[in-house]
Amino acid sequence: MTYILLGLTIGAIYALIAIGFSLIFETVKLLHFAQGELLMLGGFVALTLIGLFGLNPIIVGLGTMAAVGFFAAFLQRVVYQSVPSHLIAVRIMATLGVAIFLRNAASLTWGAKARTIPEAFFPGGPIAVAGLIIRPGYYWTLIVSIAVMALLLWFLYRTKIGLATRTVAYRADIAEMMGVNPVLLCTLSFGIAGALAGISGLLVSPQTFVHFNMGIALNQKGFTAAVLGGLGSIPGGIIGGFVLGLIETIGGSLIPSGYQDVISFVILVLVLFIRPQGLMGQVQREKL
Amino acid sequence: MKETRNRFVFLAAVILVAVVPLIWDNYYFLSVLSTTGLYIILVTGLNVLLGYTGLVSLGQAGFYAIGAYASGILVAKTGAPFVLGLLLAMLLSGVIGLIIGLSSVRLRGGYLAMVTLGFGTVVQIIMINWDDLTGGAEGIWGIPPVGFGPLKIVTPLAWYYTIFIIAGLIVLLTYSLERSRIGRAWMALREDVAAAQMMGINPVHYRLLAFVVSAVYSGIAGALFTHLNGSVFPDAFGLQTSIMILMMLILGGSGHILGPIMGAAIVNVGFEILRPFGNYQSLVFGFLIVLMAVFMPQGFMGLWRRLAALWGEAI
Repeated sequence: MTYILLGLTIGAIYALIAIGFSLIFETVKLLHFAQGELLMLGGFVALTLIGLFGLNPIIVGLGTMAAVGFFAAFLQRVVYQSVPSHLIAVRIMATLGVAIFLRNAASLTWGAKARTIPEAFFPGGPIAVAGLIIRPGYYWTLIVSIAVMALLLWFLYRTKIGLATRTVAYRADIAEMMGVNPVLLCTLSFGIAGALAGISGLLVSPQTFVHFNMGIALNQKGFTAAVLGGLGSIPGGIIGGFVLGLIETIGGSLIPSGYQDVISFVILVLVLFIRPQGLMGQVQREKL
Repeated sequence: MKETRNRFVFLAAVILVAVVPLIWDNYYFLSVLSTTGLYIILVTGLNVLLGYTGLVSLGQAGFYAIGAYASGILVAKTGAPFVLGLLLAMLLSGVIGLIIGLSSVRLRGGYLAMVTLGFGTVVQIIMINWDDLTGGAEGIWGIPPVGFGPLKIVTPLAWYYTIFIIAGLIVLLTYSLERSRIGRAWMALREDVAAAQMMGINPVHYRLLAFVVSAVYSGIAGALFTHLNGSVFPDAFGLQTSIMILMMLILGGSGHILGPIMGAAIVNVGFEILRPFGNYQSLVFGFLIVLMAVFMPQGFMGLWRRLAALWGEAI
């Protein structure tokens, strides 16, 4: 039971990263390998904001989302957009360069020590569900991430800008003919993905510490979750995140702790081998 | 014409490599150059995958590590001669390259990048956690130097020549592969899989071959690294090493036989120049990668070609 709860909480984080991956992949056609680093940035920005404004969840939460979101939009506008889209390897390299830069910038700015957001930041006391005591950091992670996911789904499927975003994802040239500016919408998608990463960096703190090197592992897990659900599918990313979180915590309790991070790689390879379209996506495999 | 020019460049490179240490026999300088030689092997390995066949790999450091550990453990624990260690390194990295290739041969660019990245991470996790065999995070120390029978390679100068002879052989082998049926098949696959298939090229076979060749090259570099350093430890084979290999290839010119040589030399010497930045070295490195991707996406070869085109227009 404890494992299920832990799995769902970490799964919510994976789902948020996976959605960011999918959103960027669909609109910008880029696999953003620095997504985990944006999350790390979110954690540190949140810590800085707590230092400035005290334990105010609303200001800190919204401030983190805005800061990382704007930064991600800036990255897209200044860096990724300038790299020719047919040079896949160079685009991947650009995202890796950004990741290295952010990791080192964070360790120089905020220090190499792992830090954590104080528990008192999450309002309310522990609650008991079915004989299990849940600390506020955990249930807030679930509540906030599910609210954010719902908001994003509403935005994408019920608003005009959401429709425009999905059109750009479908075909940028058609969207342009319909009077949509794809460049603007790609920047917007990056901003949304950044905001998601920012809030996840804040939420992940009770489970893993905020550390300059945390991005690498989270990146791989978020990507695995996205592929598991079907890369490019937002609902798929949500399901993939929760499923991966559950498999990892339950499976992780059975194997030596050092090897826990191998699970997501095995799942990634298996999914790509057996069902590359994921649970809900389209085929992304070459027929050879 | 192109062939004559390439031969000329090769000859010039061989003379340069042979003469440089005689003029400037400096311990630090030679060790930087030896590392450059190792990177030439590694980047040539990636060139086979990415440059010729069009497959992005972020797991080259994984094969490098497998070669290093295979040879290091065999030679250190059983006292086997270096040649056996090298053979084991080649065999093991080749087999694992085949397995990774089999699991991902049908994947497109970005997916393959993520799988190979995950592979590199897993290799590192195993290196750190399989204490009994790999010595954990500390690694293995006191690995004997390379010897061919009674001939022991110990001085930096001998190392320098050993590495560059092997690197030269690998570059030559790759050059003849590039110009053979196999190389043409690889490049056809890179350009258009469907068209290549119509010509009777089996994409799975040729891609797997590229994986194995690339992994074996990295394994050789790994075995040399182990015996050059006298130790193996997980830190040398992290993601950053894979990224460095990718950066070298793109900077030098992907898909060109001389690309890896230029890239390895420029980046490795450049990284040494960045050393005074201390803690900021990696920060600057990341920043330069981004700058390069934005302003020189085709690397120096692309820059060279653009300049040559301008020159051609001018006259």
